[in-house]
Amino acid sequence: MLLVLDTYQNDNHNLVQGLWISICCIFFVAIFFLGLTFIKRALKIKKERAKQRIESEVEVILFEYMFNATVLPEFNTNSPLFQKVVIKSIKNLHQNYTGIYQERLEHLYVSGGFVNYSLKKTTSKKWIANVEAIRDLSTLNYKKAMPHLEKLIHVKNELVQLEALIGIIRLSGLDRLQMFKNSSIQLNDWAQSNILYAIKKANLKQPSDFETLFDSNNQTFIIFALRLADYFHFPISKKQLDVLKTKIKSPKLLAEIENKLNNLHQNESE
Amino acid sequence: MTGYTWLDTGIMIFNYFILFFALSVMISYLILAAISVVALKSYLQKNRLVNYEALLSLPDSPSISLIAPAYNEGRTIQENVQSLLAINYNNFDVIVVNDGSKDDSIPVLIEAFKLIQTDINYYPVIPTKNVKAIYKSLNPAFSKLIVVDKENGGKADALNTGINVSKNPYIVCIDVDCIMDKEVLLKLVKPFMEQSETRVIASGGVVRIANSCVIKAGKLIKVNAPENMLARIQVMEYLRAFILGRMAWSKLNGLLLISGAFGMFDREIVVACGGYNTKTVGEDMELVVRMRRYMLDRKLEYAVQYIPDPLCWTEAPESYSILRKQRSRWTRGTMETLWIHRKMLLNPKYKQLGMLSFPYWLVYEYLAPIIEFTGLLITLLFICLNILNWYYFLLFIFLVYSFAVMFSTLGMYAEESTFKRYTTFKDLRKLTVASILEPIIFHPFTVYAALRGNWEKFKGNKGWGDMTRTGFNSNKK
Repeated sequence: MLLVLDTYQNDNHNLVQGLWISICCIFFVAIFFLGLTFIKRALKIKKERAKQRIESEVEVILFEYMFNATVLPEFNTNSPLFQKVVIKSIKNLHQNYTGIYQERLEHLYVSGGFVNYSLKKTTSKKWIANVEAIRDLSTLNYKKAMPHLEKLIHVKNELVQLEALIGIIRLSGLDRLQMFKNSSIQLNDWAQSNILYAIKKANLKQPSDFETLFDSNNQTFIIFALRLADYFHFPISKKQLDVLKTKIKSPKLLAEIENKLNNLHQNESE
Repeated sequence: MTGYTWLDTGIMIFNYFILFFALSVMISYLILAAISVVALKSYLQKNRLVNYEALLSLPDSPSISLIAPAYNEGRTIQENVQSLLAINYNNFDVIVVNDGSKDDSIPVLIEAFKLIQTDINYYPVIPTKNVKAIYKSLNPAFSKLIVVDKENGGKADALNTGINVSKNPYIVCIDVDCIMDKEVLLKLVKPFMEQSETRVIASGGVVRIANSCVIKAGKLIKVNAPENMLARIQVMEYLRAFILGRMAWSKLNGLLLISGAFGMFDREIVVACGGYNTKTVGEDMELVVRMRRYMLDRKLEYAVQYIPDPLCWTEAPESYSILRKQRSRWTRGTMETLWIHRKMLLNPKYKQLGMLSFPYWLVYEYLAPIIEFTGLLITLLFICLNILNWYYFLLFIFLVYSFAVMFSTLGMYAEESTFKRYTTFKDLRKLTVASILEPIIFHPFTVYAALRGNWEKFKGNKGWGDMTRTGFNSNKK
């Protein structure tokens, strides 16, 4: 018996052994996790310091190149951390500057060989690498990456699909939306907000043949088209909205159309 | 043994029961931890690449009402409300419900935000106590703010009032004295925006301990492990519960509870369910269980999402007396919710909720302190009868103790691998000491507080108790 005096010595011996072994194992596991926690913290601090050091070096080189240099800078190392930091710095500067400075950064990205790091990541089995690569290539305007992005839009991972769609729109403009209007890609509200954000950031022009987007078989696409119409102040007539109402089954989309109709009535009465 | 067969049989059953119970608790914790780790890793991978700012591009992003009940918060209410108004989101309002405060909460708000009484009609879709006045600000900078002054009715009643006043499809119910991350609404609303066939009815997140953190103008500037040992131990407790526990239940679609400190809900479903139950002190848990039950009864596809990011920071009790009141209230709330929804227990109609979450909560959350106390009494009996094998007893205690410490170190490691909010070695050392002391100085007290909660329930105590807080302005670096 566990807690009570008893005379069965052999059973007790096994039980005692079992308890001691369990206690020792648990104790060592505790020490292990504790040690791992402190080691992880120390490694994190070390990595942060290395990253900060590389970032400050890279910043100086990039600014010098952007504003003064006529030749491409040379970098002493090619480690993955270094490539990541350089690409991130180039992207940050690319978003904050325009015109010739942006072009110089795009040139550095390609001629400095950093684009190969991104292109390699498009073929990675890890979806995170795919997404990072798409963002690098589309932000830095590398149009030759289009075939890679078009491949990625057909993968199973929905996050990669969405990112590839955004990347394609960034690189080729909104006219490419026509190609995907009957695809199976489901554009929920979250996805649509990301696409709209990309459109705003890249200052893209409204698509030609806007109205054909409403012919889509994909109802989430039609909701998105309505939002695009709002964003670009594209006029939609009451007649068009009434036609849409007859085709649509989704309650959400119907609510959206009703909303648009109400806004139209308000505008007309004003 | 004792010479009495019936007694010896009883003792044998007790021994095996205690052993089985202890082992099942440990195994369940490990299973939940394993599921949590996998789910957390997946969440963090996806979350790393999420651009929450993109949501702000959507002019018709989901409209949200932030409902904050307030009772005698006059000292800090101005700062708290300013902090809520500064949350980063483009489509929300803040509804502060003054629940019959006896202090100067309303005059402070009127003065600070230039409020005037409006003629907005109050339509109580959910019955509540009388509303005395509804205020809005003359200053366009505070156009998002609505203040409702009402008769005292308790937190649940105040929340229901806010729900009635809200015109938005989503509501976020918070404690007014909590510090919110500025991206809290962006993160809470994301699951609702990703829904397709499955309707997300609620999302909630992690509550963290703000004691000893640096807070300025209602914003969290720096996270520190608390100086007070009791608060520090609660940090460990919250880390285990939120990172290693709730994440797993969310993954299993069996999450029974969204923290009352902050959670986002589909207003239509909340109203359809009748709002918060004013007859229980565990109104947060009871509402989530009722909403889930509502959806399951109607065979509607739904989800309750859990966001593991540290989005809400609150002050933990630093004294045993306040802690006792808090824990006994939690026990009463759990009892009430389990009793109200007892039909769900082991009922296949309620799927994971009825077959897994409910029994687990009943046995390992509610009954566990009672079982522990019963075990203690029986052990005392063994001592009196001089039949206790001290060697085995101490070995068993040491086994349980070492497991408790190990699990806490796992919680610390999980925090270090994920959110890393405690950035200094000094903080990690403090939390290590807390892990070692917790089973000795904290756990027995929580068992006592839980038993006390049971006793208070049987005596008919329905109140919250005085939860005196020191406020964040007294926190030092």
